[in-house]
Amino acid sequence: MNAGGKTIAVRKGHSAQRGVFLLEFVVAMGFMAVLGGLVLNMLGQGWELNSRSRAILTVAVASSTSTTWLIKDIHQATATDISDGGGTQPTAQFTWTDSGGAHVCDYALVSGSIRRTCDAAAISIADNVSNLTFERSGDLVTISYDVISPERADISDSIALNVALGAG
Amino acid sequence: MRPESEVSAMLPSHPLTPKHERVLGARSQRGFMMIEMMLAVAIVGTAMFAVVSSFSTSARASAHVQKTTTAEWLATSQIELIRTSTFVVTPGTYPAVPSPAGYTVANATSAVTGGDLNIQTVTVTVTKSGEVVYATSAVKVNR
Repeated sequence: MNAGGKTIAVRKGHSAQRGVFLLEFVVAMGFMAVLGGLVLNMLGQGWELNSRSRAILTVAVASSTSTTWLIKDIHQATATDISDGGGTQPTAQFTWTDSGGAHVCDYALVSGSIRRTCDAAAISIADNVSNLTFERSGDLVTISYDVISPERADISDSIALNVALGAG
Repeated sequence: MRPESEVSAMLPSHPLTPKHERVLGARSQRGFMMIEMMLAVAIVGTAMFAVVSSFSTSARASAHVQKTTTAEWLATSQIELIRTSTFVVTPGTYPAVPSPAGYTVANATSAVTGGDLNIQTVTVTVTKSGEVVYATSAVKVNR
């Protein structure tokens, strides 16, 4: 039907109205399904990115904290029980004397954490650690270990830190 | 039901105005529902994009922290190795520490002002995929 140049669809009763309503419903459901799919997909991606970010930060903090402690102690140390050129060993002891007296610091892997026991005070300087080894070549001490995220096994950092003994 | 000729006679002869379209009811309502749906898609899509963008920014920041942390301990390791190494005359370089896949650790020596050849500045640069992630320098003395 034409009215002033515009074509108008005229509904012809109850049957036609029901058909149009069904079409609208199907289109609406289609849109909602697409929209729902997009939202779920985006939320999934967001969840994945968030989880990954947290894991990376946990590992980075553990790496940074542990290396800071190791560098501080080994720079102060004047002696160690790590044998020169004797290969790797799982624990290490560093000793030095300053104005506060003689100090002894032991490092070892205890229940997945690097345990620093200094003058009988024990703290964990990094958790979720494996493969801790100490090696020495002259005055250069190399500490190697892996830090793995507790939340995600695919996020880890393998550290091989060189520190000069008594350089502080 | 009215015959079609009767319905046609009820319609205006001039072009339809928005008022007429509103009066026509069902047709304009159907169009409005579609617009509503598209608006909803656009609004929810924009909101989701904003949320995912913030997650993405957070992930980039974390990756940057990870890169910087690794680069820091690599640079520290290199400086410590240079501390314990035999003095290399400027402009020589010191042996590089082994680095994880993707990272490169380079060092360069340069003379200090004053011309004392037994003192040099050592610059350590850590790059990842060609991009400089971390750089630091230290003074090495021949003693």
